[in-house]
Amino acid sequence: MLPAQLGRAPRHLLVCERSHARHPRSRHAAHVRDHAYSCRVSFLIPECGVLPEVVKSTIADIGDYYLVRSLPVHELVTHEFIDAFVKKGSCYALSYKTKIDQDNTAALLPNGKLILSVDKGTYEELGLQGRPSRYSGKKVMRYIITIDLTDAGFQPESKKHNRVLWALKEKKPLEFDFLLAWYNTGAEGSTLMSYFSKNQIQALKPKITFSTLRDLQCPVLQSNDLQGKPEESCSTEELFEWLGAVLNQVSLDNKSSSFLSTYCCPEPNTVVEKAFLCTITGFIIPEKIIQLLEQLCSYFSEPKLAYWLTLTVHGFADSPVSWRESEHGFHKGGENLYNFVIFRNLDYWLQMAVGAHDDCPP
Amino acid sequence: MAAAAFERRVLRRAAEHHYLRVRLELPDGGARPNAAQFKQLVVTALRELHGEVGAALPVDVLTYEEKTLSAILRVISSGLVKLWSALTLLGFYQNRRCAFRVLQVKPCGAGWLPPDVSSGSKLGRLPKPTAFS
Amino acid sequence: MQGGGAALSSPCPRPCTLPIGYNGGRASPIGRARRPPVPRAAAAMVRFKNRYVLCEVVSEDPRCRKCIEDRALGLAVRDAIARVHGDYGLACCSISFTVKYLNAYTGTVLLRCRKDSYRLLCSALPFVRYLESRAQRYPCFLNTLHVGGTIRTCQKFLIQYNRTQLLRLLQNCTNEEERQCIQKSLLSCSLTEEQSQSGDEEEDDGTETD
Repeated sequence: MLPAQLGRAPRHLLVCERSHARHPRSRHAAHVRDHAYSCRVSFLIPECGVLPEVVKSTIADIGDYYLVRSLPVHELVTHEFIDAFVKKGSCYALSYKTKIDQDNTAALLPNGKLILSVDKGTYEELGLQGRPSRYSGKKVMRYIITIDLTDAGFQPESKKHNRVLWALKEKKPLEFDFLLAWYNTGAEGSTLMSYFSKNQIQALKPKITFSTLRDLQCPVLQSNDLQGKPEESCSTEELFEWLGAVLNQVSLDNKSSSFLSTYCCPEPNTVVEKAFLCTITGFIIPEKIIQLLEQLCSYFSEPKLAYWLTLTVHGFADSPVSWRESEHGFHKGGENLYNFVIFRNLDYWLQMAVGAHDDCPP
Repeated sequence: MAAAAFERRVLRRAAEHHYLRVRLELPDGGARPNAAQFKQLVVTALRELHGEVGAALPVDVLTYEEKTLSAILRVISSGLVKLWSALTLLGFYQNRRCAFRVLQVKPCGAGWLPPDVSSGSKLGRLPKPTAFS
Repeated sequence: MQGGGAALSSPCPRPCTLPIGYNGGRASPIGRARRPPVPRAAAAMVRFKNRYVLCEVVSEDPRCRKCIEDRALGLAVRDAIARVHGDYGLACCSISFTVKYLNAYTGTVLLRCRKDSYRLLCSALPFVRYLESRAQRYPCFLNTLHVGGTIRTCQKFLIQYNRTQLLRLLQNCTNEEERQCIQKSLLSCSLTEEQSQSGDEEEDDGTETD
């Protein structure tokens, strides 16, 4: 290691956007929808002691998700499954407890794309067409296979379908624990529970925790100023750092005598008497996050003391995709998250962060 | 709607600080360091490998749990490699063998996840994640 | 050597010696011609790039000059690097680190290290506070004069530097004897580079009219 490289930190990206939630061309809902796999949603409302009933009911309505043990991947490409779930709503599936940089990983996106991130050996055994991963230097050790299940050429008994089925069933049978969720507007049709009843399936509820933070120092933000001005408002980066500290319950008191830490709340700030923090952990689908976002926007329809609130969504660090189908990897941190700051006038900031070699978020 | 002008900023390598989730491994029995001793140990590690210049690097111990010996450190981005290498090469605490495990490295504070949800892939195995339920 | 006031009062200015063992302009072309062409090409391809740090030892204590020797100086510098940059810095600087040239009389020292790590070395030099020899410590410090890519550039710089030092001494002369002495040494050191001799004489004239 040369001294010049000693000071270099790994690459990462933070994209900040500013717009208005009610603007006809605002893309906030699209951004949420494109980010398929989320494992933790937390929101922070300053100057709020009890949660309004509407938001409470939205949280309660987040819905179950399912964990299926050792499900063969070929079950996801059968036509019974595609017709029953993929074409009739948004079906989300993600392999569970697989590490993106060492294991094979599978993910089914709501648009019907099945994405397999496999190592070189598996790729060669499978014999399906793919492309080299961005996370494998000169010597390609990892490949990404994308199969479009809703493609016109992917009919039953078609050549393509048979080949995929044969590869996944006989050539190299792949098996994962899957996290599954399904969202459809109509209530008819069979459910995932009954469809996979012969497999080990388990319905799980998201874990919800509430807490009230007392005497919290909050940075002052100006909705029309992303970069912030000294003495007037804080920038997005500063807010992002602060939010990390709050979510991790780091003490923000900045004593000059402290030997341990020099961390303090960015300037300027105000002390908020109480703030409400809610965290939902589970396999949360974007449709529910959009609902929650709408409820939080309508929180400001009545006059409130709070000037802004935040909604942070963490993606799975080991998911093979971040936004849409753009590849995601772990590298050093695997961050894959976005954060909304919604202001009283319904202006919003959206911060999207991905790490290492990921594509820029849309 | 006039105030709804769209603005987009892309920040590359903009994070001023990096965050590390680390765990100290000690042989069973014997004294466990408290927060101040833990920080002192980190500074000692830096001094050993990178001298006085390294020891002067501002490192913050944001959280420290004495029970599990795990901590979140914050360091200025240009010192990340120095801190990481120093922690890796530290071998002794009070004449007992010890090792630092760097579990996660994040460029932004809000990127943290509790260890039971995220799985730290390459950097080290976290304690076995329990299911979400 | 010293630009300070202490040196000016000494009757015979020391820098009359040739700063580095310079073998004259005539010898080098022969040496160059003798060198076989193939190794030179190979050397150019895979050359390790070094940096040469030219510095002078400054000490109040005249006895310090005795202990300016390769070993003591090398140890003192290594010690400073280990203290300031730790094991990592010491290991980086140790690659091809040597005391390349040393003149105990003028206090000139030439250190060599790899190009990649010369910043570590240079930043540690101010932390050398004493030289140790035969269990005795003499406080001193190192004054970095020049950092060059080859010994030759360092030598050129040193000649130039010593000449300006001499000129400064000349301006501060008090009696005729000193003046004569300095002029003599000025002329002798300008002989080392033939092509610039005419320029030197003009310089000398200029200073004498001052």
